[in-house]
Amino acid sequence: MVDGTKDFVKLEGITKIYGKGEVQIKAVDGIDFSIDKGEFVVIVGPSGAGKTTVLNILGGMDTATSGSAWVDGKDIARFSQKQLTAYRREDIGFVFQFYNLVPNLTALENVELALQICKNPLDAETVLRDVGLSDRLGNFPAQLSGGEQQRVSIARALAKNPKLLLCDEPTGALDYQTGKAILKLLQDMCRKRGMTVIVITHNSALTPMADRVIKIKNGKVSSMHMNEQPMPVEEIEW
Amino acid sequence: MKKALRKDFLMEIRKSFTRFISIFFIVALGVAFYAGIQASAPDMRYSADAYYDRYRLMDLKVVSTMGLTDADVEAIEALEGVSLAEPAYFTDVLCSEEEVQTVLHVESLTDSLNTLEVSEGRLPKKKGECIIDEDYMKEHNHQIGDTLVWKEDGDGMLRTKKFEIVGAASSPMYISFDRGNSTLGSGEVDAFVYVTEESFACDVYTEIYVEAEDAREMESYSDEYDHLVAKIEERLEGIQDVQCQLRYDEVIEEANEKIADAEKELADGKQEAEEELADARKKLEEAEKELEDGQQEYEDGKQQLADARQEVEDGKQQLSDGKAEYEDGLAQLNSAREELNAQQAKLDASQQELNDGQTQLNDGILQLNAKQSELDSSVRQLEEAQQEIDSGRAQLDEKQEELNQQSAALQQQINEALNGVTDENMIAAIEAQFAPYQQQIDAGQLEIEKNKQKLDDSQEEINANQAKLNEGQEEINRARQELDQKQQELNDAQAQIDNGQAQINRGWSEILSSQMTLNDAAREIAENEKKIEDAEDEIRENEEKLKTAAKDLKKGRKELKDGWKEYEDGKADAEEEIADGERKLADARQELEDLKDPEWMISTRDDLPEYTGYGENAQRIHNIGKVFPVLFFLVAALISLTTMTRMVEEQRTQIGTMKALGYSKSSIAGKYILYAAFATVGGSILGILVGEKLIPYIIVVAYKILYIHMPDVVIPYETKYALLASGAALFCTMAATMTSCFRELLDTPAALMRPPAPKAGKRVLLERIPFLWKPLSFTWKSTIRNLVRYKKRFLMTVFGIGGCMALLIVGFGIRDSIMDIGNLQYGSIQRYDGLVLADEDASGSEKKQLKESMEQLEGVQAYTPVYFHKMEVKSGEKKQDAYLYVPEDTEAFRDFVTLRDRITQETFVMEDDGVIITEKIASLLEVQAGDEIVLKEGDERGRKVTIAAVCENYMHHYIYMTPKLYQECFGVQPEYQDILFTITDEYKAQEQEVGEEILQNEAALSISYTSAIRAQLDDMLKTLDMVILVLIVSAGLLAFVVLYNLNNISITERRRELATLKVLGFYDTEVSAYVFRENVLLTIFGVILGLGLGTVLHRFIIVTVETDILMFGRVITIFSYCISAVFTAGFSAFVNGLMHFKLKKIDMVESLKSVE
Repeated sequence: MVDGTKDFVKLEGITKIYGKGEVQIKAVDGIDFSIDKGEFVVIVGPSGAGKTTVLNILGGMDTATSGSAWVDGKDIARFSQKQLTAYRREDIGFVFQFYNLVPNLTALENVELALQICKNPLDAETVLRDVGLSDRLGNFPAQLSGGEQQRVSIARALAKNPKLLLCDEPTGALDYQTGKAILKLLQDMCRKRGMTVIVITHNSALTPMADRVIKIKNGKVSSMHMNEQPMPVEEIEW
Repeated sequence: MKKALRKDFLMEIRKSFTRFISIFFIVALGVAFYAGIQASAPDMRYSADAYYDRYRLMDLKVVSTMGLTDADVEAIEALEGVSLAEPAYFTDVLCSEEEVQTVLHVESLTDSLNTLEVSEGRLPKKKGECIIDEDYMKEHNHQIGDTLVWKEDGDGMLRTKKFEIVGAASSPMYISFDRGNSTLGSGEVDAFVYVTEESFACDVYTEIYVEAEDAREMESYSDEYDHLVAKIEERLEGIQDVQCQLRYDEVIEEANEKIADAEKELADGKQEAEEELADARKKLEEAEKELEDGQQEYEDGKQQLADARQEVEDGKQQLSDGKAEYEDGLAQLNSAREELNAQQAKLDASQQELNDGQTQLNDGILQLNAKQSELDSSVRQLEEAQQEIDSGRAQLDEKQEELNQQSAALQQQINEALNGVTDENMIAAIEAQFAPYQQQIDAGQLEIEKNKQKLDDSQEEINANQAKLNEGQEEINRARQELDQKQQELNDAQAQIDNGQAQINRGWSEILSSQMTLNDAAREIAENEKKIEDAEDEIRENEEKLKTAAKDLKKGRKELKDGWKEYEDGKADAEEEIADGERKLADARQELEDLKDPEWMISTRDDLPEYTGYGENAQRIHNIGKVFPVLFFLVAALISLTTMTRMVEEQRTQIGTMKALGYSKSSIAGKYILYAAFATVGGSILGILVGEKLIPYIIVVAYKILYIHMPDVVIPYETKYALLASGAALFCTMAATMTSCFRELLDTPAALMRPPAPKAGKRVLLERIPFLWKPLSFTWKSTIRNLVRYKKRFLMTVFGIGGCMALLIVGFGIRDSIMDIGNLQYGSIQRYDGLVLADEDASGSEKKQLKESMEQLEGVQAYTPVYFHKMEVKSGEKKQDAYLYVPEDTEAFRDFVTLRDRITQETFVMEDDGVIITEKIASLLEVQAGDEIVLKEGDERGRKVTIAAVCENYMHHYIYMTPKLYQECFGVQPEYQDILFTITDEYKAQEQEVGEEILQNEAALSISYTSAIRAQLDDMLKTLDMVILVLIVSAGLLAFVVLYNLNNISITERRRELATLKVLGFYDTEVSAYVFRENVLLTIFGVILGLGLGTVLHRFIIVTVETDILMFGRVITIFSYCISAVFTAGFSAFVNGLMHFKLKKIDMVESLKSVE
């Protein structure tokens, strides 16, 4: 690994405490891990372990109570609200569990909506073709199936050409086959484009497909390991 | 209700508090408006009624042409339904206040009815005290203790003209500024004054106030009250004839008695007068005689004096003649003296000359003598020379003789020698021998000749000298002669001079004697002068005496004349008095004969100034209440509907779950129905509590600007309107909630528990027009699709904003409409300043005089006589009263009234083929140009006329007709007795004064000024500003509630979408803009809708608010539209501003949540 690609993302002692005074809930209690550039990472853990909080902090949607979060050499934990917005705008692609498409815009327009606010986007149509939606460009979200909607969502995230693609339970609302297809798409994108992808899931069956697996439990990293030979998605069963 | 459900319900309210509050407030607003405005009209009436009741305002008033008696009072009081009849006196008087003349209405105080509200001081207690109108007190700065002095004593009805002010008050009879009309002064009463009964000196009452039984319990202005009063009016009319007859008889009897008394008195008076006159006459005649004697004496004296004066004058004349003569003589004497002196001088000069001449003469003689002696010596010389010459000659003669002898001797010798020689040579030689001898003789001869010559010359010289001498002698002789002559002359001159001297001497002696005579004359003159002076003195004395006599005489004569005059006057007076008395008697008799049956004039509260106006104003508010709040209500209902529908839709899953758990439909729906009911009932209660107090309060207080003397504000809660409003509100929200609930409940639990099929994005029509669609950004595309997707919300918002805009337009539009009518009606339509109403009973000459005085009066710019009369106008079943104008000169009339079309502004010319009528009456009668209407005057039969045109007009109804048409129609010539006039600009401020001067004319009855009506309109506008403020505030509230609520819904619905946008990296402002774009569009649509809606609503309200005699302007100015749009946009922007903060608060984590 070359320097600069190592420790592309690095969390150090991240804590997040909700509430004030006597009732304090520690959602995250000192998380440390680092990810290299171009890795396909799966963060896995049971419900309430704090993985979504980690994702929120990484995605610039929430701030950490303490600790630092280095992304591409910048500590986003020190960012102001405005800087965070810019960070989301430029550096992050987000794939939601429930797709979160704008219902009034067609597939193409949904992608373009994201593109019009960032600096060097990819071509919307190309990306949509890449995710296999070349003939559904003009359809509204309501006219698309769940898998198709998630593809649009991924296309919207990818087209921004982000440094980091964050996926929150991307298959959570999808059936098994579709879920697989989506994961395959993500894995392919990571491999083809060398993009750093972080997938958050409670499904530990997905861990073999990752380069790096981070397990979180009770707000702490319980283990982290590297798969020397990540399995293609097709071979995984759950 | 189950405990769990109750808890869920309470939680629901807490959780969705904004939603709850939205419904709560919109309902409160709607109910407040509806109930508040509805209650305002009755509250206005209650306030008035409370005031009237407190001061026991009379219900009816009876005034009789012949006064009213105690019997009348009793009779009226005895009527069924009459609880009290109270008599009083009144009269109108003129009063001078600094520079203006005011008209006061003086009434006697009554005990029970029409009591006064004393604001200052106290009520009058005795004669000569008064309490006055508080407005008048303020206006004229009177103080308690001041004295009011009337100009007239009100036809002798008052005992005094001076009244001390003891207090100020307001009366329930005068609730506003108007104090009624009068025949005095400017025709308008300026103030009321109350005095005690004793201040009136009448034996009969002028009016009786009547209080109806039970009327106090009834509400003024109500039909019930009107009905009661009408019934009593009828009863009063019932007894009128009997009472009038009684009064008539009484008057006749009284009058007859009086006439009899007067007749007797007159007869006595006559007798007495005649006697007195006879005495006086006798005395006067005696005095006259005496005076005549005196006159004669005086005349004689005067004659004598004149003679004496004449004499003196003659003497004076003579004296002056003598004096002149004397002066002449003196002058002559002096000139003679001067002449003599001059002659003496001349004489002396001549003497001197004479003496000089003598001297010269003597010298001449001496010279002459010398010359004589010279001459004498020359003569002697000459005589000597002559002698010499004579001697020479004698010598010479001797010689000659000798020679002659010698020559003769020679000759004899020769001759002897020759005698006998005949040979020549011997002759020649003989002769030659003899020649020397001959020669000697010749030479001797020559010399003698020569001497002789010499002597001749000398002789000649002597002769010449001799001649000269002779001449000289002669000359001397002549000179001598001359001298002699001169001497003679001189001697003559001397004699002459001597003569002159003698004469002069004689002159001197003559002068001397003349001087003497003159001196004598001067003395005489002086003496005469003295005499004349004495005579003059005497004359002067006599003159003085005569003058005194003359003065005495004149005085006597004047006295006599005065005496006569006095006598005549006395006689005339007596005669006049007698005649007067007789005339009066005759008049009285005539009057008695003519005496019409007395008549009662029964009036009600409706005839009080402004009483009806107040009722009409309340009615107007009532009319507004009928339409205006409905708009609010509609919006409120719609808002509740959307909100509740939305709520039910949101809780779909929960409904499904409950249903699946086995709850009944009603208990599930119950939650939502209760939710809505809570909000609605709460809102209604708040709305009623606040609205029914606040809005009537604002309106009643606003009207107090106009009705300043109405102190009460009575605003009870009106259950009727409260129930009506809250019932309607409840019904609307309930219906809305139930509809949406049951639609959901019809679905199966399974379907309900699945998330609702998201509303599909749809392609909108606009997308099919690529050149319009393509350039739009995604956000705009999304906005437009959104608008189309949520049609209900779209409509709601547009309607809400439109309503707000419409309210504002109505508010500003009403102002435009009313603001304009004063200017239009009295600025561009009726351009005259006043109308003089003529007294119909005035004589022709008085009317003519009125017109003449209009012509001359300074300050009157122009005038035109018109026929002006109230008419009943009918078309079919409908009828209205209108004023008919027939101008004498239709051309001139155009300078006073403009007849034009309101919309096209085209001016109409009055034609003989039809009348021009005003717009409002045309619409009330539902007629237009070309239709026929019927004009009816009094009880006469109606006449049909065609309408030629309908003209713009805002106040009252008018019909304009040409004289010819009038004659055709009514068969008579109209009498142009009333006069329209305009006042010059510099007199505009003093129009009242000009009016008073006009009213000096007998024929002028009253004047109505347009400025007065304009002022009333202005007051009306003031109250309107308050209404407009209320409208603006409510429009703002409406806009706020609607926009806030709808935005709220829209944001809640799209929370996920907005959170996603945030996650995608949209800045806060970009997110807000994404939402506001919709609001901006909705606001624009709303404003456009509001334009139309407002215009229609404005028109509707204006038409409803108008009373029959009034037409408001129909036009809303561009400015009002603009300002309304600006306000609306402002409200919208304000709400959007609030929303921005709400948007900022949206948590991005929302985007991660599942769809509910």
